[in-house]
Amino acid sequence: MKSPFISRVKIKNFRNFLDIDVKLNHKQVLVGENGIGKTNFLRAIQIILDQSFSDFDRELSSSDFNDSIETPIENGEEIKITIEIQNYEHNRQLVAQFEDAVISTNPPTLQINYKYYPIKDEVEKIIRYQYIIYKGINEEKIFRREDRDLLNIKVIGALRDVERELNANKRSPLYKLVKQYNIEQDELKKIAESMKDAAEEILNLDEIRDVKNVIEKKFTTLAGLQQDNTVNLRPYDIDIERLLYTIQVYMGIKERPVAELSLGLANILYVSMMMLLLKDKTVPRILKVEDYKNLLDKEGVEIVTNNYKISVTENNYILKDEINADTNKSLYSFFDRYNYQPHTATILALEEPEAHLHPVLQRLIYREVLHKSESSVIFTTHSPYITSVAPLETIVHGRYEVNQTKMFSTASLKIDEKDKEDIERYLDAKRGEIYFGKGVLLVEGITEEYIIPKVAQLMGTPLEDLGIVVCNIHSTNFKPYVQLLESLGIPWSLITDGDYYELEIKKDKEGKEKSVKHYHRDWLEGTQQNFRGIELMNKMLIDLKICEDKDIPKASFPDQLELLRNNNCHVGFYTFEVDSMANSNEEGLLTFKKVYSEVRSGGEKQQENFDNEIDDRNFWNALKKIDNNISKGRFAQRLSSQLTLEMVPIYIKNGVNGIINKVRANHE
Amino acid sequence: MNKLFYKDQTLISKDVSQWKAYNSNNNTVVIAGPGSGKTRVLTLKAIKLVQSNIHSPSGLACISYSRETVRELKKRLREYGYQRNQYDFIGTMHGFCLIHILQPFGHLFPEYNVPVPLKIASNELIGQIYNGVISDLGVEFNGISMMDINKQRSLSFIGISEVQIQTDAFHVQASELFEKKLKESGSVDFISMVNISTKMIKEQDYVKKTLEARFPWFLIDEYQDLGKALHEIVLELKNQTGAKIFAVGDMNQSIYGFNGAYPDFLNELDTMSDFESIPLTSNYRSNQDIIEGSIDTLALNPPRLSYDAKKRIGESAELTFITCEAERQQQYDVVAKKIIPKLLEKGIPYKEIGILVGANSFANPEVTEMAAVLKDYKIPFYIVKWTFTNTDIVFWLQDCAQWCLDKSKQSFDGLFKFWHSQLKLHNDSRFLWEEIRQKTLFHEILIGSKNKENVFDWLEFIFNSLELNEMLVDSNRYPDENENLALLLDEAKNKNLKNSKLSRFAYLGEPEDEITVTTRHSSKGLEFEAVIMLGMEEGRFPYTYRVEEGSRQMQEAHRLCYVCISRAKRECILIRSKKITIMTRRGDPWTIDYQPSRFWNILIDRFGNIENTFSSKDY
Repeated sequence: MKSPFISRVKIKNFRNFLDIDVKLNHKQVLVGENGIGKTNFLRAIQIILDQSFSDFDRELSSSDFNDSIETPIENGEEIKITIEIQNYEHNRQLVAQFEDAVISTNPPTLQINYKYYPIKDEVEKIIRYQYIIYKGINEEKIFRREDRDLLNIKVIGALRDVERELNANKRSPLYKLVKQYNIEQDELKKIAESMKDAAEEILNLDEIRDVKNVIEKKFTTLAGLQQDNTVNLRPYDIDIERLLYTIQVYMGIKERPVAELSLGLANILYVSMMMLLLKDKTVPRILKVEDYKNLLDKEGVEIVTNNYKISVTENNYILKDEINADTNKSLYSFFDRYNYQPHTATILALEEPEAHLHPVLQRLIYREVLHKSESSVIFTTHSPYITSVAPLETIVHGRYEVNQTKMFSTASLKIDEKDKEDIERYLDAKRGEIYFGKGVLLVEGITEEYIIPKVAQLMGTPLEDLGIVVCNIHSTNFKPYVQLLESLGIPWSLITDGDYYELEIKKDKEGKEKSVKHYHRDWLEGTQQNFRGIELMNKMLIDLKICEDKDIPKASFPDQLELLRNNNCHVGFYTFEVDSMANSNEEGLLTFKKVYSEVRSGGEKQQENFDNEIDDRNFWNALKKIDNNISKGRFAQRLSSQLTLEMVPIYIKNGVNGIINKVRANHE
Repeated sequence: MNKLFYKDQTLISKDVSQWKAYNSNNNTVVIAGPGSGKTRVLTLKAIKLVQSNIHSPSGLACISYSRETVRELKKRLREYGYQRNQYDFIGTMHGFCLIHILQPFGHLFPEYNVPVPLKIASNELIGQIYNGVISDLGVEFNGISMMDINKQRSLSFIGISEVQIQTDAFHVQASELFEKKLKESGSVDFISMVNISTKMIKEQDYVKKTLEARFPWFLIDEYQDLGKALHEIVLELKNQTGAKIFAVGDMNQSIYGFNGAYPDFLNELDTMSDFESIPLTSNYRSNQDIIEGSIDTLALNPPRLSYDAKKRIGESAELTFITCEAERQQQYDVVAKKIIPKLLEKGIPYKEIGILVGANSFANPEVTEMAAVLKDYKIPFYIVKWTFTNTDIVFWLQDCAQWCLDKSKQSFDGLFKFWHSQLKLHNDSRFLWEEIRQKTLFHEILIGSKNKENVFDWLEFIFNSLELNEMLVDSNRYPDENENLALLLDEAKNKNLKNSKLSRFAYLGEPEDEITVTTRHSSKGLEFEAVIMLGMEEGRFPYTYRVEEGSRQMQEAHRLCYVCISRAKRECILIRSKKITIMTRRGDPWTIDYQPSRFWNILIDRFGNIENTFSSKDY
């Protein structure tokens, strides 16, 4: 049963945030540059939900207002944090506890608000500030400790000392895990006593007796006339609680203690124990015989008798393995009704869980967590290995704007299922680089992927300096990528071929008109123009509601191109190589020939044929030769090193300039 | 759970039916005759459930008929060591709908037109709407009364129940018109609150789901008085959720038909196969004579009810029939001058005497009149039905008064919390003050009020210092509170609380050694060694104008008499006048001859003889 999760966060005037409203998912990956406020975003949630926060922590001060607000306290400004919770309705305790917090029943949604606000006297003079945390729309329904007992967040910070926490006795997750089972005290007592007996054996060793004597003698000498000089030796006193602390984790066949584990592995161990600890325990894994018997007269108990079996010790009933989803659901609703143990819903937040972890392990572990875990988890991360395995709809992106951070999320992204799979595969392969760009330049093929960084460099602004990422999506299906980038608020531009074609209207046998598109032909002055690239981009803008059909100036291609440019789509005429050749002067064409000569596989004849096509300005034929004899990618790879600006078609330059200007504008 | 709890638990364990009801684990209907100890069973069961079966954040829902019965219930629970917690609901049907349906969910479903924040229609607005209905329909005021409309509205909810109540097409039309106008006014009243809530429970699964999670058990007292909407809620919860219902009631004590509360609903519940029916037939109050006499007045078709006296065994009843010559005043005089001294002579203390009169309305202020005479004779009395209503604010004022007299009786924090929430509710600018400033001021005011000699001075001081009336102007929640407080002040200045000590007001709900004066309806739940029933004239009790024999209304009058007689443990004194002068609508006095009430006749048949039948003069 998937646990409740924070479905929406709204923050006003708090630290980095002036006014954000972001939708979240059951699993959430928070990305963004350093200092963008990822930790403050979590802190905002913690102010409401974290049990370990004190009243003092929740009481903010003037320094917690966004920096752009001048004299906030004098002006009576407020800080507001609102969170919404969904997917809690299977848990009766939450339904009951949060009766007053419901703000929608479709889907069932809870709201909790934090407000830091001024208290005014009768002449509206501000006396002081105070905070209130309340449920739903009614400020009288205070959110209290008992609410937090049932619904809270646990944040595991980036800089943690895992070893210490793992061995922290009462606070250790292992101890807490063990404690949850409510082990019979008598059993423990027996074990403690036999351990004590065993330990006392040590006192019978001759060596130990001798030690005792030596100490006693020394003591007598020093203490002089002291009356009672008996010294007693005793092994460690073993009480029941301590017995549980003594259980510690050892890893591997060699049973290495945690202290000897690598930091990364200890991290995994810690996180996995936390995940276990936070798991919804409504359906117990172990039932005491007595509790089991008490359930027998309850309605629908068959679900229990069928799925638990008596343990070897016959003290407990154990939940069978391999319970299917339906059975699990029935078990859940049975125990939700009859098991009165409070079941807390805890949302786990992990800051930079990639720390000290090998990339391969990062991918393995977090793919598992992100896709399969029942607990709701929020990660903040800089790791492309984690983002690359994150489901598309789980990304939150923080982006700096003037005086504030804006948060964007993919939670409500509506992308066609097939496109989604494509993007996820792409992200996986490309290590989620798209999320880390301050701007993204989308291109359709390998050629542009090689050429464009070089163009930018030639233009004097290396893309890397600005954090702009070139993403080759290997197709012209830009739409889902644009949707993704738009939802995350990441500036983008795209560069795509014009794909000019000649349109021929044929009649088939029955006299029906049929249009045939001929690509890879040269346009002849005075004939009609058709561009697949323009058509595709127009359609995309309309589909994404960026433009309306009526806005498209159908009569004029230059006007259409301008409209597309203004909307970040930069479209060529034919295809990059052909456009480039057509754009090149003698010197440029020479460079094409030279590059061809450097990478061709065949002999002189091959070069001659290519040169001839260039000289005859049969650029399509020349391109065909590149494609057949070398491959476009290999050619582009080499071409990029010898490229000059004169050879670059204007739409490419526009595209590069476009994204550079947008990124610059955002950071100035 | 405390000693008293265990003691009473032992007590009910000796009564097979009570014990069975106490231990029932499924849907249960307890049909509880008069004096059968139902409140004890209900409160003990409530304590047991809260302690052992219900775990936070779930709680117990305990619903009763009126603020007074709720107050009594809470008192009983406290005596058993119950401590209030945020998860339980103990209150009236209206309170339940307000706190658990309309407040949390009203704003989620705009289709029900629940005003946010909730605005309750004032009596004035209701009057205007009623006038509007009358004029739209083109009828006279006597064509249809507000009561007719409200009754129809209460019955209008269509749900699962198969109970058929005959409705008058004209009443239906009028009530629908009323409903429409009320909706347009953007307010709700007590009836629409309950109807809307019922509708939301029926139609919105989430609301049902929440109720089920919040309240695994619903204990309902006085089921027969709670009407159709509650009945539909109960059926809905029973059919659609796992919540358990424990309903207590008695069809024969159903006396609020004018509110649309008919015994048929309890009857329906009682005959349902998924409810266990447990009748409580032992009477721990009256002797067998009184039991039989009260059953006579019910005039039910056979089989005859069979209730057994379990406490006053072998005792016989004492009935007295006194006829006055004329007017109500003679009845009051004979009570004060003769009956009460005689009862006292017999060793019956004041608190064991109950005087039951017809009404305490503007036209017939019988309680006030009776009390005035008692006052003249310096007989201590306690009034159940005052001219003012026991609203939340009046209860709170009483609690404040208790604190002023004895700090240990009330929590100052609790008193202040209520005050603070009122400031908030009424958007009073003082709510913005620092809480501690407000609290200090409130404390000073209460301390300052301590030296006020009498109820009137105290109330006036409190009202003025807190600016209570100003706060309540145009109140959304308590639209008629200022009028109500004016009635209270009037009572303290000119009437039965005049020159009374503060303690009288503080403990208005808890009679000391005082005679109880009440209307017949408000006598429910009380018991006395001797009951004095005034106004036993045919036509006045029962009311016969335009009432057909055998009609629902007439049956209800019989039940009302049954309730009154069964208040008595041993003795019953009936009084009537031969002539009574009433005012015609033109304002002229009109003297009418009255025959003895049919109930008088029924009782005189069984008990009457020369020894106990008197005229007021020779009594």
